[in-house]
Amino acid sequence: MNSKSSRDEDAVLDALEAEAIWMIREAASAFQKPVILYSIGKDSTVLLRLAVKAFAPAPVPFPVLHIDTTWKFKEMIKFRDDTARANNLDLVVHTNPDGRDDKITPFTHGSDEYTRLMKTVALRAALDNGGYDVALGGARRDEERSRAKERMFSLREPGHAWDPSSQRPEFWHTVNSTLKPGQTMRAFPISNWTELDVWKYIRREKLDVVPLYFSKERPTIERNGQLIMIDDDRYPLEPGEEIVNRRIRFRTLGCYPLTAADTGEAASVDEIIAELTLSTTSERSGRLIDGKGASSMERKKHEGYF
Amino acid sequence: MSSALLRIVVCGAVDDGKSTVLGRLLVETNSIPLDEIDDSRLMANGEVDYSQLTDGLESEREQGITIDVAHRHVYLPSGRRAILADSPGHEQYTRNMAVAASEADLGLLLVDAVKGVRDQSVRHAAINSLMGVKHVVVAVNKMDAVGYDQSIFDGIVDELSRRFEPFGFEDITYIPVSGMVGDNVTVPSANMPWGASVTILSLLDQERELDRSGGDGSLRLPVQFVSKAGDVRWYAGTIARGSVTVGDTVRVWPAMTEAVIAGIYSPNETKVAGEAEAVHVTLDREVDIARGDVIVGAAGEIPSSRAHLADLVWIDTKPLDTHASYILRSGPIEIPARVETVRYVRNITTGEQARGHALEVNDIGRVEIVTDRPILLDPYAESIHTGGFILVDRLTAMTVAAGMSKHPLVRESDVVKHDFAVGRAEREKLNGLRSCVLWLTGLPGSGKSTVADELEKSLITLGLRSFTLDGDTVRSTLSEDLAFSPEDRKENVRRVARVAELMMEAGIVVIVSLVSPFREDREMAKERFADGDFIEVFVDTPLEICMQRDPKGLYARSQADTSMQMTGVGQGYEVPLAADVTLDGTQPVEDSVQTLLGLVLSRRI
Repeated sequence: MNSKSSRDEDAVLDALEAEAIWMIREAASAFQKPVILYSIGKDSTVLLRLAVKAFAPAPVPFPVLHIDTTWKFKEMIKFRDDTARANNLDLVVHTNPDGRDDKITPFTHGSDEYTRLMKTVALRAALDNGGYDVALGGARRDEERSRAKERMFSLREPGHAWDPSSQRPEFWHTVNSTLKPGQTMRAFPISNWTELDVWKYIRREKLDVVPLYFSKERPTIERNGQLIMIDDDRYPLEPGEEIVNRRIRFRTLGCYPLTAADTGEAASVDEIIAELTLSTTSERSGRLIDGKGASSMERKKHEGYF
Repeated sequence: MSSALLRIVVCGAVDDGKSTVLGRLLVETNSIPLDEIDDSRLMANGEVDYSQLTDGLESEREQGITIDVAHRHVYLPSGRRAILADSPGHEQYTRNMAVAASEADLGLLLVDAVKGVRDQSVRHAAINSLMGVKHVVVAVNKMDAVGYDQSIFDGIVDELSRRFEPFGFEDITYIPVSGMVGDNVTVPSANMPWGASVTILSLLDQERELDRSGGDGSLRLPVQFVSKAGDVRWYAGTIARGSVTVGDTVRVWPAMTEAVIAGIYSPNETKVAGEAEAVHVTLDREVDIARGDVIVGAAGEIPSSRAHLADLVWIDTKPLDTHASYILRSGPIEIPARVETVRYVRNITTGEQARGHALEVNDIGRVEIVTDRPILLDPYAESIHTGGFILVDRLTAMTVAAGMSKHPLVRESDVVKHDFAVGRAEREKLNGLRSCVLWLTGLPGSGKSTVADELEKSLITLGLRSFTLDGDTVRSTLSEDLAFSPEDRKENVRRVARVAELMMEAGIVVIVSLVSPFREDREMAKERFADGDFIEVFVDTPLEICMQRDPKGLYARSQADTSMQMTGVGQGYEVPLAADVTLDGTQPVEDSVQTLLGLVLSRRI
C-alpha cells in the first residue's frame, strides 16, 4: 500500500468516525433514554470505542445492554465482563426468563424458534423493561441486502416492528426524533462502515477483540459441510460425529452452535485485514440462521430482531 | 473534509436500468462478495441478473421495482471509495430520491435510449439541482437495444442539454452505455467507436468531493449538548461550516455573547478543527449555552430572523396546512413554525410557477416560513447543514417536508420605522385637501378609464395633484408576472391597494381604474384604509353596452378564444353590494366626473 492510498484510507476512517460520533451524540441528546446494544463482537467493540470518544472527557452517559441467549461462546462472556470492568460501563444483561426455564435450545426447538425466543423476544422485553426510547446498534449496510436499505435512525412501531415503507426520510444532520407513544428508534452509527473499515479502525485504535477472531487450534465437528466449534458439553453429537482439533477462526460471532468457523489462517488484526482484502465471500456466510431464504433477515427484522 | 469518500446519487426514471448498471458496477469492481451473487438464485439463464443485486427488500423483488434507497460501496481504481445511493425511479418515491441527493457530491442519471427523455428524468435532474448537486453524469443506457445508433444518443443529449439549462449545473457529462451488455460501464465499448473512450467508472474516479461551503465561510457549530467534566463545560457538535482554532473569538447565537475558544477535542485534543469534524470545545468564560445554540464566527451578518424565504419539498400525503403549527428542525435547533404563504408551486419539469395552490405530496414550492422565535438559517447554497431544515407534523410525528432556506425576510413587525418629521398631513397641505383613493370598479368597457381621465383633467385645471393607477398600466409593470386566474387577480388587487396606500400618503388624489371583479378582493383592499379614505366607485354599465363599445376588442377576442378568462364572459363580475358611489355608465361622462369632483372637493382643508 503506498502512502497516498493509506492517507486516503485514514481520511475515510476520519469521516466515518465523525459521522458516527455525530449520531451517537444526537441519540444521547435528542432522546430521553438511550442504550447501547452490545453484542461483544468486533462491530460492538468499535461502537463502544466511538461512544467513549463521543463523550470524552466525560463518561458515556447511558447503559450497555447485552442479550444473553446462554449459548454464547465462553470467551465472549469473559471478554464482555472484562470490557465492562475496564471501561467502567453500566452493563445490563438480559436473558429471556421463560426461555431459560423452558430450556429452549437450537436443537430442541429449531434455530428459527430459538432465535425468535432467545434473541428477538428477549431484546424486545429488555428494551421495554428499561423504557429505552433509542437503542444504538452496530449494524452495517454492507452486511446484507435488506440492511443496505436501512436508515441511520430507524423507526420501530409499538412492539418493535420494522416497517420499511414507513421509514422517515433523513436529510442532512437533521433527525426527526419525535416519537408517538410506543414508538422507539434504533440508531446505527456505523451504517456506512464496511467489514474492512471496522478492522482498520480496530488496528488504528489498538482495540482488543475477542480472541476467537484469531486462528487457533480449537475443538470442532463438521456438520452439513460447516465447522462448528464445540464450546462445552451441551452440544448433542450425532452418531459418527467426532470432535477434532482444527485451526479455525471466526469472521462473525454469535451463539456457538449457530456460528460456522472459518479456516482462514489469520492470527492477528494485520493478517485479518490482509485476508479480507482478498476475500470474495460475505461475512454473514458463517451465520447459519441467515441462510434460510433470501429474505430471512428482513422477515426477522419485521418481528423486531436487531 | 477529505475527498476520500465520494457520495453519489444514482437516479433516473423507472425501468431506465439503474439497478442493472449499478449491479454490474459492483460486480466488475469486485465490490460485492461472490456469495451474494450465488445466494438466493440470482442466476437467470446462467447469467447474473444484475438488477437483483441491489433491490434488497422482498416487496421490491416481488414488484420488480426499487422503493427505497440502497447504499453500496464501490472501490474506485484510484483506491478511493464511493458510496452509491441507488434511488427509486417512481414518482411516488420522489422523497427517497431527494434524500439520496441531499448529501451527494455527484448525480449519476440514467436515461433509457429506447424510451428517450421522460419527465421523470428531468424531474430527478431538477431535484439534484435543488439539493445542491452541481456535477452530473448522464448515462444513456440500453444503447444495445437501439443498435448503438449515434444519432439516437445525440438526439437525447441535445434535448437534455436544452431542458437542463435552467438547473445551473457546473458540469454535465453524457456517456452512451449498456448495463445489460456492459458497454462503457467499467470497460470501454468496442460497439461504439464513435463515442469518447470513457466509462462510468472512469468518470466517477475523476470526481472530487463537492465543496458545499459558501458565503463568507465563517464558523457554524451547532451545539448538540453540553457536558461537564470536573469544572469545565464542554460543548459538543459537528462543524457545519468553516473551522475553529484555539484562541479564536466566537459569538454564541442567539444571545450573541462573545467568548474565546479555550480547548478543542476532535475527538483527540487538538488546536484546530475543520468542516464535518465532530468536536468538543470549551470557552474561556462561563457562557449560558444550551442544545440548539450555534457557535458562530466573530464577524459577519447572522441570518437570524422569524421569517425566512425557502424552497419546500412536500413529502407527506397530507397537504400543507398554512394554519397549522409544525415543528421545524435544523440540526439540533427545534422551533414551532408555520408556513405563512406559498408564493408559488413550481412545475419541476417545465419550470412554470403556479400561484394559489396548496403544497401536496411531491410538490416543490417557494414559501415564506415563520417561526415562534428568530432562527438562524443560512442560505442553503452557502451551508447545507445550517440552511436545510425539516418540518414535522405534531400529530403524526411524520417528517412532512424538507426545506432549503433562500434568505431571511424582513417583516413589518421587525422593522423599527424611522420617525419621519414629514408625514401625510404635511404633504396634504400642499394640495389643500385630504387625500383619498377613488377605487373605480366595473366591467371591461364600462367607462372606468374614461371617467378617470376626465376627472384628472378637471383636477389639474384646479391645481390639484393626482395620479391614476390604471389596470392595463399596472398589468404591464407592477404585475407583469401575473395572469388572470382568480388567485392572480387577487394578488394584483393586493399590490394595487398597497401602492395606492403609499400614494395617498404622498398627499395626492389617487384614482384606481381596475376591473377588480371579486367582492372579497375589493373588501380586502378597503380594509387597509381608515374610514372615508377609500371610496368604492361602481361604474355600472350593462354588459351588452360594454360589449358594443368593446374599445380594446377584448369581447370580440374572447368569443373567438374561449380559454380567455374574460370578465363578464368566461369569469363572473360580482356587483358591489354597498358601493360608496354608483355611477350610471349609460349617462354622459361629464355627470360622473361632476359627482366624483364634488366628493373630492368636500375634503378640502
